[in-house]
Amino acid sequence: MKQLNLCRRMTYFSALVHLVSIYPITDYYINSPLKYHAEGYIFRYFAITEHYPFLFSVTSILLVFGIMKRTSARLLSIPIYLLVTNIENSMFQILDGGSNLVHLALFYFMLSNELSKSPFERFLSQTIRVVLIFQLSIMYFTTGVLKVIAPLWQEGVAIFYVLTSLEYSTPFIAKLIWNSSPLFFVIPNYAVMFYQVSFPISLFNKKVKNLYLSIGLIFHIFIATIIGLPTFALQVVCLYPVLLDDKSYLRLKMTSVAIVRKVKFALMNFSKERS
Amino acid sequence: MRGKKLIVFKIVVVLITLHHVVLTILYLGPVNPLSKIYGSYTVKYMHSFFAQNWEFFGRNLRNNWPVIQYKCNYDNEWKSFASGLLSQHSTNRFVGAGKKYYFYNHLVQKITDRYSKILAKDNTYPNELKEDIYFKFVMNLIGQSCKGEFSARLAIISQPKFSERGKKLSYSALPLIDFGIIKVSR
Repeated sequence: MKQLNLCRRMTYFSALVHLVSIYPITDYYINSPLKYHAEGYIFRYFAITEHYPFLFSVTSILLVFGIMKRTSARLLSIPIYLLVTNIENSMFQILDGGSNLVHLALFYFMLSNELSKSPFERFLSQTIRVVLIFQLSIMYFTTGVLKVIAPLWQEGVAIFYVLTSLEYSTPFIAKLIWNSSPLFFVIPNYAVMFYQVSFPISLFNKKVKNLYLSIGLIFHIFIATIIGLPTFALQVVCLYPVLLDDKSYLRLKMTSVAIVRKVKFALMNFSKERS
Repeated sequence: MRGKKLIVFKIVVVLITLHHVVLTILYLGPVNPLSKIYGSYTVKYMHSFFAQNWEFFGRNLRNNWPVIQYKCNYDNEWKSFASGLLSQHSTNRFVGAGKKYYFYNHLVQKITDRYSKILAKDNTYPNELKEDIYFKFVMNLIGQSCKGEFSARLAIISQPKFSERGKKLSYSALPLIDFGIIKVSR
């Protein structure tokens, strides 16, 4: 259940980062006609008013509390869900799949209380973990299948078009891809399709699953930096801990602790040498 | 007694989970006889709390997009908010220019979509456009940036095709409607 708790805290962190990233645009929204045309959600556009700085502050404080405190109390997860979804859905035009995934995860977190010792709560939390794994798998599988039936992906040139576009690339990368060998975009094109479609199957083997998660991590670093969707990449990766088995979770924890210790030690040495 | 309660609880949770999983698959899957029967219930259920769309760069991958270009006072070159924001975004992915770009781009897309039928018939400046809330908002934004009168147009930016590789990489802007000189009151 520690995996679910880590996943919850990382999701709160990604929601906080996303809130910070959309805060500067809120002022534009309040005065824009887009504000009045939010539709398709049950909680919609009552959150964004001229008092939005207060709303953002309250939400951020709750999220920080959720990240820092090792708690999974529903008292915290319910207001977090309501506030985050309300703020973000009222600006839905600038949202992407990452926010969609976070909203779903925040809903599931309201139902789980993973640190409780009650057998009822433990079973419910175990089920929520399975539902989250299902949600991640169906997300990858659906997006993979939609690529398989898309002509540009079939022809092996979709990555070429993404990386030479003005929206999802940089002038330097666009030029590089434009002049490069087709190997550099045709192989990644089919590799992405294969990865996404086969993602659910990879979960049945521990070694293959861990390999897939490592590839996924590299893939999302690429999405954050090259394609320019940093919050989307972070929001998806924050759900990865739910896929870790106990051994991998422990190994990851030990490695993280060792890295933090090494950095601390290096910093202390550096400050001693300077003084 | 507690053991029995736990078993009943587990059965209920498993049934609810199965219901959720089946409806998610029906919602995301292609149209089939089952989704035809349970389609409206599925959509109602999923849109309550579980609306989702995973078409990242799938069928909707586009290679041309509309942009509103403007020239302040006596400028010679056409500018656009989009190009400024994109160049900021390509220099630093973490300053939030990308989100501003989506916001602005959505407004331009709204203007283009709403008037696409008129544009298909005639490439002149439709009068209804002057009263459109999105159009007025964008023109006000440009007015604030220019601090005076400006000329504006709607253009389509096209990405070079794969078959054009070998030539110099360039993005063409095809003017669609000329809005003429616009004066925005401050």
